[in-house]
Amino acid sequence: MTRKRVVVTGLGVVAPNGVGVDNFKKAIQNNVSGLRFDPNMEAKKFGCQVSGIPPMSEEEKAENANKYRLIKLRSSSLLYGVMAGMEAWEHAGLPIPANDEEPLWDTGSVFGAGLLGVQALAFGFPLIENGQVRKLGSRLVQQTMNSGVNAYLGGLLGLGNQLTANSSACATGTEAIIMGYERIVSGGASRMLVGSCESEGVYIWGAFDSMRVLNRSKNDDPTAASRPMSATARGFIPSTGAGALVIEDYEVAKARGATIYAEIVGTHANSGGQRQGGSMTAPNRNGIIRCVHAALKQANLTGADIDGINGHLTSTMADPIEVSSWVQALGRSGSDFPYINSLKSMVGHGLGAAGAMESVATVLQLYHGFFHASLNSEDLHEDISAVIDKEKVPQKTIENTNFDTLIKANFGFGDVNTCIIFKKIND
Amino acid sequence: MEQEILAKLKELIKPYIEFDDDLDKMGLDTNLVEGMNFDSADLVEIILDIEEHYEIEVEDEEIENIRTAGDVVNLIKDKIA
Repeated sequence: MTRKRVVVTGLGVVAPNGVGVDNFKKAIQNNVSGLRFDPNMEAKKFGCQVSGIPPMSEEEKAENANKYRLIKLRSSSLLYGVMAGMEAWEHAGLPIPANDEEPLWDTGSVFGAGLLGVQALAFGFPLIENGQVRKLGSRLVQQTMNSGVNAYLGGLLGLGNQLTANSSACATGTEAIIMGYERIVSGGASRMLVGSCESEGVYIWGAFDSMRVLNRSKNDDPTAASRPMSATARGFIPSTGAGALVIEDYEVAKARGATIYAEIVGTHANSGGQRQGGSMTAPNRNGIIRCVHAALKQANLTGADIDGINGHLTSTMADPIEVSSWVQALGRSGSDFPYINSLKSMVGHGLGAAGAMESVATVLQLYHGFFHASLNSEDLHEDISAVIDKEKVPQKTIENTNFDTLIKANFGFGDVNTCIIFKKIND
Repeated sequence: MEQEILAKLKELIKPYIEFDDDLDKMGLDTNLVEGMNFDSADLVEIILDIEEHYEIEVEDEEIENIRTAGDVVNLIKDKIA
């Protein structure tokens, strides 16, 4: 059977530096940080008191919840996921089917989360503890189950193909895209709405603060707190949001005259097995390298074909390990190394949402021909500057890039890796 | 008093309905499940909202006997009397 070609035809995003594709594109192109001092983290005596939260007022949230019939909304991650998913659908130029229409049997969704409904759980636990279980009501299950987002999207859009939620820590978003891609490649669906989101707030970020992996040194300078690849990186900044993509069988997209933003030409997901230096929290470099090699092989490309990397790059001690893994995986170093950036420098680490928000950013950069800056990397870590030229980490946006191929990777707890290669469409 | 409670009930029900027309048409005889397209999950939430607003408690058996908007209005009327 011939493998189907898969293209990206729609994007949606709710990010700390921009809600909606247009705002987000402007923000990343102009290097706008979405990180702010977080009074809730201060009140709860967190070491780190900086976070990235999508800039939406309570009124805007209520308006959107009402629009998408998210009754008794107690989980902002669910709202972000549904908003991004619906935006991607409309961005793809697809009509919203009426309630009495046949389900879209050829269209499904993989929409992941690290942990979907922490806020909803936080609402429910005290009621249970106080013997008021009947007051939980009937809207808590779908706000806490990990498949909550596409349970709502499926109803709003009448999706009739596979609906599922994946979870692979910080690799969740890219893994969702890979799973949807594979569904289309294998002929199981002709269109998939894919993406991810993450819970928001102190109940999910507390454990990371306790692990001391969040930056505690920049509470008074929030936009400088996320410093991927910097010598003064002192931990990541937690954030939340959602990203979504409509991906389609190329022939189906072409037949309906859809705008094609990129082709997905290669993907891979694997694990380093928590061996050879890998652990629950650290990657086995060989796992990363194998993951990138497998994606390149599937795409029938080599390291020489890559124009830019959107890395995982969290602003921790793992960044130099990641960069040296890219050097090895692509077989390129010094001035021959491709450009590399980290969206986390602007929006922090969206955990389960990271891969989807970053993939949206990657596709936007490819389609619109720019490559955004990697903020706060002016003092590049010496282990990084030892292997790649400093100018490969942009300090300001590079315009008119005309890049043909960008590679995106994410790595997560449990030593899991994901890699996607996006390419301009070539008939 | 009935009309007053019915008006409040409509206000509490509003978030759960898709079309405002249905609410305009709702009277004491309207069957809540068939006439308003509520499912059992909606009804659970609406009862919780009613309990919170009127500071009353509705027993499970009482919920099972609800068919029409008038049933809910009478239930509230009895409880707050």
